[in-house]
Amino acid sequence: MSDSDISSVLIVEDRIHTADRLCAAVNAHPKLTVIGEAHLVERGLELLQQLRPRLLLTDLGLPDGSGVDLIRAASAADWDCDSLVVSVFGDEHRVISAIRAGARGYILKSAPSMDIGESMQSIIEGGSPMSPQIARFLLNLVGPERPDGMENADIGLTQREQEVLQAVARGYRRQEIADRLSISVGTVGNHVNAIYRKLEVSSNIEAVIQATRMGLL
Amino acid sequence: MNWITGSILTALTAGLIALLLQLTQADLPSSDADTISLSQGIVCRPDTAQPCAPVTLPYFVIDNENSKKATLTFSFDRTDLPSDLTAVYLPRLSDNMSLTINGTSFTSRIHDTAPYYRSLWNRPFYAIIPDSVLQDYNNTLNIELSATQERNLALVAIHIGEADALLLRSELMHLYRVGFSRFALGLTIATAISLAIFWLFRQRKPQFLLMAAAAACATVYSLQWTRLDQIFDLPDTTTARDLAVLGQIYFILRYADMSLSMRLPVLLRAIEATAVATVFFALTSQDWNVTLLVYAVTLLISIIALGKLVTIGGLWTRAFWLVSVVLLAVLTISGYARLIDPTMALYGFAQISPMLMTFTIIGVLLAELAYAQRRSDAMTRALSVQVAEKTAELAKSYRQMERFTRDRAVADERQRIMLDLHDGVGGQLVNALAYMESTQTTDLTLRDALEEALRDLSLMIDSMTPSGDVSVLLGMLRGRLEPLLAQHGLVFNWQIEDDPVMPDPGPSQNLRLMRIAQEAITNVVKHANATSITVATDRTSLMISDDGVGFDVHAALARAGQAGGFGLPGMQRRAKSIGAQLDIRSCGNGTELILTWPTAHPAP
Repeated sequence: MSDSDISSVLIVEDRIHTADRLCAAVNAHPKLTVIGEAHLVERGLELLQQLRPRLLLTDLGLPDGSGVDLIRAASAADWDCDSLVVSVFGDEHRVISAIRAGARGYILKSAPSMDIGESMQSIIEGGSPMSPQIARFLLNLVGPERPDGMENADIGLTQREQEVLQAVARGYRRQEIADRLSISVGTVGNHVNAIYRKLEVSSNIEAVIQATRMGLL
Repeated sequence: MNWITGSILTALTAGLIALLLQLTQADLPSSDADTISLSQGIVCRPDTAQPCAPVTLPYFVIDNENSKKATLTFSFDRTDLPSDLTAVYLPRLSDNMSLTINGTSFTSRIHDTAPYYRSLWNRPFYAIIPDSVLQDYNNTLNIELSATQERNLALVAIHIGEADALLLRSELMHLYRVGFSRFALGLTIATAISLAIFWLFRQRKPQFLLMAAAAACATVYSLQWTRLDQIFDLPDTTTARDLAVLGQIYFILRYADMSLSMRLPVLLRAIEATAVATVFFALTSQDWNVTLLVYAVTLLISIIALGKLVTIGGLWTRAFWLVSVVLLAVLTISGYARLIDPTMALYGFAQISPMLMTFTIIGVLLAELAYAQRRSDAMTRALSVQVAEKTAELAKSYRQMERFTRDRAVADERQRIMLDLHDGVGGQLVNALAYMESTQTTDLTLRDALEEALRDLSLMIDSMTPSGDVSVLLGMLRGRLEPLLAQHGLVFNWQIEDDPVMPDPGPSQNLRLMRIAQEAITNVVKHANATSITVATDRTSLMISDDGVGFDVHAALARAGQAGGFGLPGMQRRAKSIGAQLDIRSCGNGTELILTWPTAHPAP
């Protein structure tokens, strides 16, 4: 196994035991290694420039600011740096704003340690998880009916992508979705990634989310 | 009813009215015992070669001689008369005369020049006969009639008798023949001017101008009967009268064409052609036949137009029709009297026709104004209804907006609290669990408590999200419980097809529903010894079942009741609080828990 196969990881998490646990879980994965750990946004930004990690794993609610700033910095970095969010609950509000800032996906803090490294690896390889809530949120962006009669934002989802979203929103796992739609699990994953990419690149997404939020509230 | 039937109806009605008018207006022989009527006499025509001959009144001569004269001689006895003051009364004659009794003259000499050559036309003659003039027997009454070329010689009747009785009759006749005409003249002039002013100030609606023109024509027509032509030496032009008759009917039809959309172009062209013919004849030669043509054309066109009008229907068009038919009858009878049987022209009806005409015009316009007013009232009413509706809508929008604003404030506040819980409590719980893991603390009770607290917090956060469909919440719950199930070797059999709709959807109801679901699932995990959990929904129910060992539901309820109300009774209570019914069936090869609720109220 060569050095280039091992991805360096920077962890930003304010709670010490959680950070330690994440650290251990990441290091336990053969292809990942933690090169830095920060508890504040400020220190995280410093380490990001200093260590130039391949991966940024950050919490969002930090004592001196939001992890979204770190994700933006990673996106703007002059080396290849992917961001991942560690979330307590994987709730819509947090994850969507992180993805808008350029995060590749999220992992749950409460996930079993042995799963964390694997999840990270699969996200890097293109397999972002998607919660039912996030799927519902995205469906609301494109859905035919809006309770407030506002114009739908079109982020250009295909019919099949909408079907996948619909199934995810109802709590079906990828394998189940694949069975229901008679496609492979990999294809389901590709659809989910495509949806995330569309969300990320959609130029008017700020306005879209703003509008949707107003409509939904 | 088509226009031919309508025309026949019109003609018959007009004829009937004309007949009635003729009967009522005929000069009945005087039944007054105090007067006598002279009707048998001798007539001589000094201007012709004819010899003197006996004559019976009424006397009419219709010819085209240049200057006409006739001398009529009657005789009567004083003994036939009352002893009181005596007078002579001639209801109608044409056009001038001199009267002598026993050689005494009662008139000025006849003037052959305008304006005096028609000085007795269209008015009665009345004179007191001094007692000294009369002899007891064989009084001679001599009348010398004169008329110009285009006029007729006429003497309708001679009444002699009590002066007061004859004066009354004479004055009534004067009022009827001259007074009415002057009244009609004033009326038509006032109407024409008012309508013209109306036209000027009412956005130049052509209806008013057309009716003003019709009234002006009626003015011209009524002028002849007023005798003003003799006072002011106006030319006596038959052509102007004929054109005035044509003009009246023409403008009224134009009005009907425009206002009632009757489509009368053929009739209008016919009138225009007749008018041109009238002018042509007037310029070439004066002929009575032109007037006859005008009357005939007017009559025919009026009948057809009114025939069409009566087919249109509507109350006020019918009223218009009726008035017009009376007018038509008057026109018929006066035309007939004037052109065909002059003996009927004792009273004449033509002088009241301008008045009828004016009433018709005013009636039509009033009806139209009333109709416009009614329409405007209806529009105003509709408008105010609309305003009221829009106001209500606006008020509703404001209320909605208020509610949205309030809901949003509530949601924002909820979001803030949730984020605090998320970052604070949630982070702490995760941190505590991480600490236990890193320090290898194996206090299972503590770990279960922390994990359960974390799950409950997740449940709350999920339930509070704005897009909280029940199916999404179940999906989130599945994601959170999946690791727990995996630990116990369980799998989900996921059957969420329809999005369940709660009777009163909202975060708190969602949270209670999710707590029931979570408790049901964790119960299976803890106690059922099952291999799979089925979660299925439709719009009004949620079913959670397992393939485990089952349990005694009654015993569990009884036991839990004694233990203070956790477990199943708690679930029952929660089900009740969201208006749902909880049914639990259990046997040796599994347990089935079904939560059903009524159909949601339709959204307001």
